[in-house]
Amino acid sequence: MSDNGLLAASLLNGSAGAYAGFAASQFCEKHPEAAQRFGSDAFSAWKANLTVRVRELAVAVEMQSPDLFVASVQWARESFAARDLPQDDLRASLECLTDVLTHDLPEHARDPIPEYCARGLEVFEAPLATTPGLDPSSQHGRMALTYIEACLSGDTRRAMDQILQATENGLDVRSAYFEVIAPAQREVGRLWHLGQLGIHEEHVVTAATHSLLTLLAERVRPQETIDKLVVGSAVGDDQHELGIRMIMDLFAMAGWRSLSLGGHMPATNLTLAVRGFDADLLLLSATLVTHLTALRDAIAEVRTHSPGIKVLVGGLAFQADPTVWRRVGADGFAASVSDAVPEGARLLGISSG
Amino acid sequence: MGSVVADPRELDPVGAEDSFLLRIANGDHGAVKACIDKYGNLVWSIVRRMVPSPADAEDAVQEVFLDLWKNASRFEPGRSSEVAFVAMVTRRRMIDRLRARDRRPRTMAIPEEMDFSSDEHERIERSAEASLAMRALKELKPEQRRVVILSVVEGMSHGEISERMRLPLGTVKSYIRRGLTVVRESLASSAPKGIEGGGVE
Repeated sequence: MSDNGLLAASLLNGSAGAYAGFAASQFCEKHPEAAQRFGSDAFSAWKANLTVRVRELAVAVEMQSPDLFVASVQWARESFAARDLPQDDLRASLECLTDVLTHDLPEHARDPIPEYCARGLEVFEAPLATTPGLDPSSQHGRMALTYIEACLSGDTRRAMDQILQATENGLDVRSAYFEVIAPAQREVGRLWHLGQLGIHEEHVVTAATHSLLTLLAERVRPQETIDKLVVGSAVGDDQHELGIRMIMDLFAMAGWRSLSLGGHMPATNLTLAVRGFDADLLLLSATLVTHLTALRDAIAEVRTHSPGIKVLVGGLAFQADPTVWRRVGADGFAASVSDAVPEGARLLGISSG
Repeated sequence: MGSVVADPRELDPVGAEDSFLLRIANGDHGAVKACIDKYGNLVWSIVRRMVPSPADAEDAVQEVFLDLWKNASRFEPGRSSEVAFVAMVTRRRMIDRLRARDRRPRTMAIPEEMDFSSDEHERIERSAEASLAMRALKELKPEQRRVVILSVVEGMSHGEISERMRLPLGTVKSYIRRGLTVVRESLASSAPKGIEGGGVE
């Protein structure tokens, strides 16, 4: 990408709060009625909101992907709608941010900004499309909903028993992962984003799922042994580790040796793990768009010490633009939980996953 | 009395090729973080003298850097040192904030016609206070002078100076305490009436 694009991204990242502050100030001046909706410290609330937007924009510019910024704005739009906040407030705040950036960035760093912001604003031209929830008419959808309902009622034992019983009655464990547990966790994330679940409720379900995975994974004895080691993690500020754990379990079920390092992993320790365990494959996930740069930097650092390592990436952050995985330096991309093992096998030239 | 700023060209011999601001003006994205790391303490130390609230000071520091990014291409190594340019932009931002009071001023452009060498430059670098202070600083041993400059001009913490100069922390503190005393005494003895009694921050 052009030096000016990289410069713009660096400036946005380095001074996100200040650009957001200018935009929030302009927003509160131009739209006092909208500012009032956010209480006595509307400026701080909007500054915080716009700081996130600036960081998302910086990543999108750095990754040369307007689609990433579009997805971020769409995500914010859903969040506003779920909380009955006017869409026009969000749009107006983005217009103020556009104005600030096109005037206050150094001239040579402004080039990419109008296009990216225009794409972000286009989101508001279409009716709001919400992410669909689980389908209660399907068997697996019902099972996932029952699992969530039991957890949220405080009966995690009943929640887990239902799925354990189903696997005893013939439900393949991998199918339980793909068709029940992963969709249930996605649904919990969706409900949290819409403000319908609290953080404590999300944590109850996630903790139950960790226990459930331990019980389920024990039930599978791999049919073959693959003498390859896969290490999985989420880096930087990304604390989401359940997806990684599920995929590591699936590799183990396929006969691989697999190690989950969890989330929030510093790049230095990731590098040590890859070298120390002599890994053949590294799997990294990113949940938010703003996690992508740390993931890219981690891959670069790992490769300086382990140049032969194959890297597979996945996670929600990659869904908005299926080409972004190439720009973070990965060798492959798993679009879903079920794609990870076959794609990992392909990268290492293993015929069966 | 304001802070002592000695001749920045002597203190901060940054050539054009080493200037963070010129690198930014030329599109070098790697210089952005380096510039914040290098001048963050200096900007913070100037801002904190003028902005009592830490939260407001943090905002002000961030705004100073927006001004620096926008005006990076205006920095001319032949006319001033980079540290003096950063200090000048910081002070201008603080003055704008004080004038604006309730509203937040947007980024400011340094006027094209501004004669940095005879106006702001003179104000910052060649004030009577600065001249006197510089003379006093020259009375210090080179190592002690460097320690005082790093503390007062660049705003570095004692720990950072200790690390950079590879000196024990106690020595750094002692150098600063004794150095400032020398400068204060020198200023007090030679200053005209208006400066008498002033101190070095």
